[in-house]
Amino acid sequence: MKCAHKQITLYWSGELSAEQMAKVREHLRDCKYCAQYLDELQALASDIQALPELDPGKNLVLNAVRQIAPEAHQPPVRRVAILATVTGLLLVGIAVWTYLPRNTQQLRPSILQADGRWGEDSKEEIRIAAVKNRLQILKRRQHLTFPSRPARFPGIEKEIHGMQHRVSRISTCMTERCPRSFREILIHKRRKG
Amino acid sequence: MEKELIQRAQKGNTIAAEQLYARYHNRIFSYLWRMTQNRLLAEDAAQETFFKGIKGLKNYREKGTFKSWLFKIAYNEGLRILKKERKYFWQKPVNENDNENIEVPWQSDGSPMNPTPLSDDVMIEKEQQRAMEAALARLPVKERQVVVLRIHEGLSFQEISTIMNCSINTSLGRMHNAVRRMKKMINKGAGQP
Ligand SMILES: [Zn+2]
Repeated sequence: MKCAHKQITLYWSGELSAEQMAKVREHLRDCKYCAQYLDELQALASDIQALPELDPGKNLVLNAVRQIAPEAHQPPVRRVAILATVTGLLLVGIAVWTYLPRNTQQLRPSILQADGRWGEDSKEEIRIAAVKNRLQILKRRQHLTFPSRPARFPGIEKEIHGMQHRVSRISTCMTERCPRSFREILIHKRRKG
Repeated sequence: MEKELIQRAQKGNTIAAEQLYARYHNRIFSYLWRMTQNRLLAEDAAQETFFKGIKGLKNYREKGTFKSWLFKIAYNEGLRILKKERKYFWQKPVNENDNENIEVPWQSDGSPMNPTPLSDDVMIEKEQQRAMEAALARLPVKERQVVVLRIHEGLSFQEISTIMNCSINTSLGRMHNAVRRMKKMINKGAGQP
């Protein structure tokens, strides 16, 4: 075998057949250059493996699930089955609701837990969550961009403007929650000039 | 166990989906953090990865592992967000002699600080990790992906080629270049304050 770093890399990675591995092993006995490369690979691997896994400090999966919820909650079942299930669940639900109201609240899927409410509100809830999410992204951009470079970003500002309209429209029925994140942006923006 | 979760999630069970992706929560975030070199971009990209992962789960066929399927989404999401953010951020070109502005995870805000004083050994270890992280950050983005996916995530070069949409030879070449570059940087003491 001739010197071939690719073979050495695959050998180190355990992606060679037994036959190929034997060849590489034989080559490594005579070739300082390749043996050194293998050492370097192993050293790098142990250093990189020691690097920590990072925690974002918030549940990004849950955020994603919240964005999707409406569709994700409708498995493809036939209408008759749905009707039967709904009727059954309704009866069970009423029974459980009457006797164990607190427990049922805990049993609800996380997606509709925000206020413990079902029905009309949940749609708004999800829309607000999506809008809030967008706002957060914009907020972060502002925060990251302005401290180091006080420049104008007409694209973002225009986007924020559009968001403001959408949020204020939605927040007429959900006054407490939505405007806060927007206010934060404004305050931040004012502070940073 | 994972297989079962996947099947349940594919049928539209959001709780199963949540459990499934929770297993990859920190790994996907860490991966994207190392890719984007920015905590907030990594959060956005990770959330988007989970979003697309949950939505697109019905398209997942058991051709490759679920893990490499998910990392392919994360890789594309990371690239997409980097491209998009370049419009908003003035991105400094990678400079091997520039030690400043390299964000290191355990110094970034939000990560828990150790309240007890660190022993010398721990300090040295942390310093070594910081140097490694800084050197890794200075690799060209695609070389860095190969290193992280192979060593930190334990994926094969075959899988990496699929994720990065390149030939296995290209992946192996990137690994070789990365090893040489990292060696040079560490020897030069790059990443030292
Ligand atoms: Zn050789």
